[in-house]
Amino acid sequence: MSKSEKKIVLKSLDNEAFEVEKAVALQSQTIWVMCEDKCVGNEIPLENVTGQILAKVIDYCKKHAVVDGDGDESSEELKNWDTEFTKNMDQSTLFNMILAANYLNIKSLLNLTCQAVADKTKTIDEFHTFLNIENNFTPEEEAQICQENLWAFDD
Amino acid sequence: MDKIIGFSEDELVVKILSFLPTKVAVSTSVLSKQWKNLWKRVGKLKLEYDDNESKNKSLKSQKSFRRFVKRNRDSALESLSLKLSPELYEPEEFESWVGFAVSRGYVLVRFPTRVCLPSLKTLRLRNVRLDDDVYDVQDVEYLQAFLRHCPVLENLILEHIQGRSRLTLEGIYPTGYYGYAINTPSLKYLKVKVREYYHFCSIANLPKLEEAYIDVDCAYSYKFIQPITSVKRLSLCFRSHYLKHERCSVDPTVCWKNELNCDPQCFNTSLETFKWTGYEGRQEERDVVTCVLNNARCLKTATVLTESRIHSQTTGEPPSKTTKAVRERRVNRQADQSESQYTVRVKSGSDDSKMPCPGEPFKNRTTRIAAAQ
Repeated sequence: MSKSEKKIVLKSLDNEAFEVEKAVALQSQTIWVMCEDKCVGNEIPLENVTGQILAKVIDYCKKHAVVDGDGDESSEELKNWDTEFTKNMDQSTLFNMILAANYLNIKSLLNLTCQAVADKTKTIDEFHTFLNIENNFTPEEEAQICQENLWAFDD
Repeated sequence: MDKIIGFSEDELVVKILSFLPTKVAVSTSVLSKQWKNLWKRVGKLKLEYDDNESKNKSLKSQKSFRRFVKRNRDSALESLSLKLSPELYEPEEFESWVGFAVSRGYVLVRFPTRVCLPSLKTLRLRNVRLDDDVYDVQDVEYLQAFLRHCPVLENLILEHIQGRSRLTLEGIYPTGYYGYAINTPSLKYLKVKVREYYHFCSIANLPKLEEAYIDVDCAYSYKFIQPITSVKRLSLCFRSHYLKHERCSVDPTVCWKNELNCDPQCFNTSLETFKWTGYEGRQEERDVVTCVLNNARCLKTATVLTESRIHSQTTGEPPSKTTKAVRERRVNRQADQSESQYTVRVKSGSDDSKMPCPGEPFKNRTTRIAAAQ
């Protein structure tokens, strides 16, 4: 296999190009299917992911890729790395990472980021803010929901 | 901060919710109409309630928690944890949830029988207040009524933390089966009173047990008796109602070190048939048989079975059901109850020819039993 065949170019929504090892990119089931279908060349357009997010996804995939001579990372080290990876991400980045992980179909990254959001999101206001959820209840409806699930609102 | 778009897929939201504490997940029901019922799709809700966390308005939170569980009784629950302070409740309020009634030092456990928890696998109850180191297993009936609505419950754990002893009641319930295990390292007194048949039951790890009262169906009495190795006072009550139909067996590893106190009343009024398999003739075992024979005024048949692998050892074959020689000896007590004399009849197995003279050792034993009276 020539060097060029082992590499693949991922192109973000905002036209940022990332050249990565194929083994790294193929952790994404979505990319894997695209490559299998041979409907794309060496350049894969990812229309739902910005360059900023894609860069982080690639970081994650590089760390988790099992490539030649790089397979002896201990699971604990990897876990610590994961924790550090999401630790300083703001909520916006985290949610975008979830969407990217979902779109690219990288299961472990999806779990990691969902867990990170759960760890960081504590209040209803935060959900409203970060997920851009519009409260479409009438005040009466909202009061009824609160009453039904009163236990969840006990402090 | 940028608003996020794209979270229109419920699946993704449910995924995030599954990583949240259940209480927070449920609270997202007020976010919007789309979110109203999403938390219900989380397959592993963990319901936890602790009085200590909300001391001032405990009754209110207890009510809201109960209402919540009632309303969502069909939701998939992974676990349910209750930490209750009984003194905070009106009796009826408490009873409808988990009732602990203390009478003569026994703890009564009542469970809400109408709550159905089809996915509940582990139920742990902590801060159970016991006034004495006594647990009356008959109260398991309440538990059972509740457990029938928990078809996949695997672990039931009751922990007593406040008192001297720590009581753990663990049961493994394969679908459609009921049973329990008691594993209580510091239990001092154990009273077991069971009228129903359990598919599974075991008692183990009772090193500090001093006194035991066993009142059970003899079909599985050995499961209770076997682990009571250090007990000082033992009261046995075998039900003739069951004895007529069921086999009574006592595991040969029983070793009573101290005083054996049979409950004469039980034997007086009820025991008609006594059967012991795996009898080895040790002093403790002889004591038990003596006790039974002494006190069981209605006893009609006492059967003691010894097991021997002599035959299989002689032939060099591995022990198996077919080669394992079983010598059965039957002690018939004459119907005449004024007599304290026993008729010993030896019933030999069909392939007894290679065994030592049947009957001889047993005759010695019965002599000793008679002498012990």
